[in-house]
Amino acid sequence: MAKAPVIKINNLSKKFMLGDVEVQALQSVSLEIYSGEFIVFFGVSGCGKSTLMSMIAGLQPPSTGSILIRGEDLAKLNSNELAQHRRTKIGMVFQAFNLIQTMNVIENISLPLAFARISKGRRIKRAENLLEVVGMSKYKNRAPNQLSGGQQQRIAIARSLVANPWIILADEPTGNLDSKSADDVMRLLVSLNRKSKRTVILITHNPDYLQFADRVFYMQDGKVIKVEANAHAVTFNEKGKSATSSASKEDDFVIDDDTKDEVPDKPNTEETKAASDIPEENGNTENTTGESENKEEEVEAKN
Amino acid sequence: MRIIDVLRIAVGNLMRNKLRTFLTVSGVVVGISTIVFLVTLGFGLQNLVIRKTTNLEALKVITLNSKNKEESKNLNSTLVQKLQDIPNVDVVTPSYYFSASIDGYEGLAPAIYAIESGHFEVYDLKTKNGKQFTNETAKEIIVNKKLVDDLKEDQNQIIGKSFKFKITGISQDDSTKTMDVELKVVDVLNDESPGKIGYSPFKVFADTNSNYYNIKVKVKNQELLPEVKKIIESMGFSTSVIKNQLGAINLAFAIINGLLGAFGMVALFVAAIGIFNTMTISLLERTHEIGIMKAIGGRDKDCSRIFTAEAATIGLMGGAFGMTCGWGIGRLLEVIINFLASKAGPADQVPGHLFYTPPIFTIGVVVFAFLVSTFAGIWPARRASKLNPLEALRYE
Repeated sequence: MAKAPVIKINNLSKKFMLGDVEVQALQSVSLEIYSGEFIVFFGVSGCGKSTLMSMIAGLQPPSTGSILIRGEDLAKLNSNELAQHRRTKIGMVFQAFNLIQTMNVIENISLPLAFARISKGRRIKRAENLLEVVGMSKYKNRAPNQLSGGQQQRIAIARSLVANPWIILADEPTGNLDSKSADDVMRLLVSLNRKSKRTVILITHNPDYLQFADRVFYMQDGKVIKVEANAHAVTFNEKGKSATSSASKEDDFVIDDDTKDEVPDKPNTEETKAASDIPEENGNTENTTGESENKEEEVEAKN
Repeated sequence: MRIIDVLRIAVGNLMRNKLRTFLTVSGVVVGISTIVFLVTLGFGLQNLVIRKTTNLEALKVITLNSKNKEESKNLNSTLVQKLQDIPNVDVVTPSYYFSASIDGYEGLAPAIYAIESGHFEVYDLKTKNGKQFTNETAKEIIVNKKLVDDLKEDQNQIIGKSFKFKITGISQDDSTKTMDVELKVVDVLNDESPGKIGYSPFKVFADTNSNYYNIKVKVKNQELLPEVKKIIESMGFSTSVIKNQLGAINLAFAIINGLLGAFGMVALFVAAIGIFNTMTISLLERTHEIGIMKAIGGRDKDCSRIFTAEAATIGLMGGAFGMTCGWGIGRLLEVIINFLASKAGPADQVPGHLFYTPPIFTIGVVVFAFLVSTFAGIWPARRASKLNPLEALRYE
């Protein structure tokens, strides 16, 4: 099936200066990522995988080469357009959670929507739905520092989903978590990919997570040294590990507005409307959602 | 980002750092209240001086004097009629002047002016109880304070008492001719004159064969005075007017107010540095937060607006509170001073309003505080917008 890649990276290199020493963080990386894939970038720390992620997010420009997100060259975007790119197309999850400590849970989750000029009422409603999805509803008025690491990361995942992005970028999301919390977070990310077909890019050095991936990019010294396709990527509960708690949770895991990249259906429901409002600011309506699929999922969940 | 959301975040941030916000706002409050206090004092004193020194009615009056006997003969009822016909003349009123002695008070020789009732404002006369003569022919007198003292009377007790006056100089031909008349005191003048003076109704002395002492002409408004004055002078009379010093007073106070305002500006400048300092520290503290905001889709503009909004909010609060404080301190001081003055001296020595706050000044000061604070926040806000998101994210 000849699909257009959601991310296309051409001959990408990144150099920067650390003091007087020039560091070659990335060397001639070329790859394509397709919609709905679960991708793992695997490698030891310092191999350039985080640099690659921040460049996909448009947080730093390439030295040479190009990054195309759905055919759009990030190098051609100005700072406002890059902000919009991060707001509407990318959801980021960090190792250090990066929640804003001075805001409560619901404010943190809804902040990207505030940047998108969406009214407070609709922001809160959407954030509350996502809180339910990540199973944190009762913590909505807590400050982030009143939550455990695992709980904070789940909030961060909810935040990354709030603007209904195409791509979830997760950089070592379990790096600061105990194994139980790590499982919870991984379960969320995996079902996010499986249930709502979002493109998930996971950056990790933990080989345990390779089994979830559709494809694994092995990285070393700023290069992709090996790409491995995995025809039988496992979903979480197939592993058996903490299967008891996961079964019901996964069935509940209904992202109210699915990100279906290819076919922008007409958004009808309240929630999809909220989502399609996001690019309103710049008149971008590419990021609409598939309502039919959404309904299907709800039926699935009820069964 | 919507303005309302920018404000929500900005106010939220200010509320989370209550002590620092309080201190920074206090700086603005001190600056603004100093300006307000000093400048409204300036305005108040300006008004007080104008009120106490200048009778605005008196500025409309032209006095025709008689320099010598010849000239004084021409000051007569015919002239009064003629003056009345000059355009823009409001009131023409003549007066007599006599010297007198009082029965039972040896050596006391008060001056008696006979004036027309109803035109006290032309003579700039203010009576303690606001009384005038009962009618044009009533045998009454209004005495000044000095005369009351010399009569060994009390300013309140003297009212209603009658004194026997012997009026001299009632005839232009016979300087020895006198007139005896008993005059009842109806009120006491509010004046500081060192001379012993009494005012009686003009018509009481209508039968005397005396010349007018002077004629006062009141014009309809102040601007018309030079014109009317010229006409009267062209008729061959010498005139005098109260010099209009309003312009000089206003100029002097404009300078004083400017200086007072400048002192206040120093305080506000210090407050602006305080805001700058607070915003800069806040910027350092929130570098990581700004990094997060940019990573999740905040625009550079959104980040700078949050900072600008914080600085502006500080300014607005400081301006409003400062305005209130400055005004309140002024009012308090005014009440205290007036209270002390009323205890210490006579009622007419109480200064009344010492502070005056023009409405436009109120608004202007708050807007000014707002602008100064916003300006002080520009640089930190620009830095926030220019932060590299990746470096900001790494910053702890």
